[in-house]
Amino acid sequence: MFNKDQYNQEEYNDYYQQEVEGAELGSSHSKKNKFIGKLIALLSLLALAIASYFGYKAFSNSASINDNNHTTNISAKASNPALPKSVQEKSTSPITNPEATVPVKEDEPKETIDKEETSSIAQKEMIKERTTTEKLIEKNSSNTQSEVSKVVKSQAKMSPEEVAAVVAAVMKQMSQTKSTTNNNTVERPNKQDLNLMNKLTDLEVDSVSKDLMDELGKAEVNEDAKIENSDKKIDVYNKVNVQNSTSKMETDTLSKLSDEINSIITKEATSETSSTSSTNTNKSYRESLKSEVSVRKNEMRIIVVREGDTLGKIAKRAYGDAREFKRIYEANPEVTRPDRIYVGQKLRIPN
Amino acid sequence: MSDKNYVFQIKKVQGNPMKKLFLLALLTPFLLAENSDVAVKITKDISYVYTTDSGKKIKIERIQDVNNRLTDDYTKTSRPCPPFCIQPTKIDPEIENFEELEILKFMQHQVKEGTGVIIDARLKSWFELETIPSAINIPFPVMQNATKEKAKRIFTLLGMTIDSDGTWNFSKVKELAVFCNGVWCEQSAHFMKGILKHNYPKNKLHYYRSGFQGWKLLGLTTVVHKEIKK
Repeated sequence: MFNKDQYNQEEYNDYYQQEVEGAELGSSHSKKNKFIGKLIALLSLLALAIASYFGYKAFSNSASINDNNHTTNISAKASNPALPKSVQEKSTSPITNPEATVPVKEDEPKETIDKEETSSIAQKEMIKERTTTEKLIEKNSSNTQSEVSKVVKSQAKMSPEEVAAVVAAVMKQMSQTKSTTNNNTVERPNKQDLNLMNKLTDLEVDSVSKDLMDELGKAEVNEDAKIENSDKKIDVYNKVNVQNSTSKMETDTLSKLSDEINSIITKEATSETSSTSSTNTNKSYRESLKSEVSVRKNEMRIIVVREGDTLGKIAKRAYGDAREFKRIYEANPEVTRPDRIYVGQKLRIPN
Repeated sequence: MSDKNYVFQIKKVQGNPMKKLFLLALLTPFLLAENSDVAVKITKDISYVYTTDSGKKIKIERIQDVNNRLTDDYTKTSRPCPPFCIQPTKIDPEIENFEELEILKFMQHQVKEGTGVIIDARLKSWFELETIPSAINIPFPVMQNATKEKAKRIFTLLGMTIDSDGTWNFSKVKELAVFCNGVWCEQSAHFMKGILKHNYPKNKLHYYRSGFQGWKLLGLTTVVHKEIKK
């Protein structure tokens, strides 16, 4: 009995331990396993979903494209080739042979109406555009429309819907023919232009053509220059203009200092010129400096190239003589050829 | 089962430093690119220097066109002497000489902190046409012919204080790096003579002898206060 209990107790303890251990291990183990399992399941689901979505999209796209092609083919065949014949007949002899044309017409508009109903959205949009153009044309040519409708009404017993459809088709065809005639009229010169052209003399024509060639040449050159310079993009001036940059609210201490010193200098500048404190050597030195300053200013001149400028024109502006363009060309080594300058380029103008 | 856990843990630990290394490897080309693209640097280690002029941040770098040449009047070799004679190396044995690198260092430290000022000693018109970035203009005649009163006012702006007994205290005055047109230009010499007359401390004065011509010759960035256009 005693042993049995002990045995039981030991067994119980072992079981308990095993259970506990198993539970702990199992829980931790299963936790991680579960987590990984969940992840894998989610990922696979995602992958499946994406694959199916793309597959469906591809499938539906191919199907819709086929449908579109089909409908366009059918409607095109139905509407276009039938009309020209009938309209031509109508235009030549509207009153003489209405009976001959009307029965032919009866079939076709019906077909077109049916096809319109069954076509896709794109087709409907196209038809909408056509109808709008037709409406515009209808506004302009209401007379012909009324004539046509009258003829159709008088000669045939059709419902008003069919009459309207017929009228619309006829108007459309007439607009097409009108557009072609318009093109023809645009190409031919007016009488006025012809007269002017006859008046122009040979010399004038030559000068005009010359100017055109010059302009073309400049345009080409400018484009070349632009391409060249955009490739290089190396700044050989390396000058920063700080002319108007003191507009910031917080002026730094350095600019404040310079402003204060400037105020002191300028305040007493007027009084100093009258004073005799400066010696003779200083005066002569300052005189020589003045000439240096003017030389310097002249050599520091920059001209910005304007549209239509050539080096000769710039030289004329700077020196009064266009033949001095070589000096400008030599003073600007970045200008590789005298004709390669572009709008906005800054050229140094030497003295 | 225990082995699986162990493997999982090792993988986790390895993940983080690898990520960091990978990110570093991606970023290093960007970090090093600033100094590596430039063909014409200032020194081996420096490609450009930043400074401010008139409230605007300016990048000082050299012209990158290796075939570039000076075309302004700074290419002249023989100006009449007198008055444009070759200047002596030192204005005064106690006034330190500066060159371009010292000027750039001066910009990055003293000018930035406000304890130093670069002074263009040329006439105002020359200063406005073109000058070194962050330089202020005190024309040399101003200093040369300055009365005591005027000098006092200018020096107080430059950090001079006046003691109770009326003597001028230059202990906290700013360092000045003075330049003019070049080696042949005596304007900075006149400036120095004028400022020394009023007892400005020599250890706070520096003479940039190569001047503006030296600055231009190296293709360094300049600043224009007033552009002449036509």
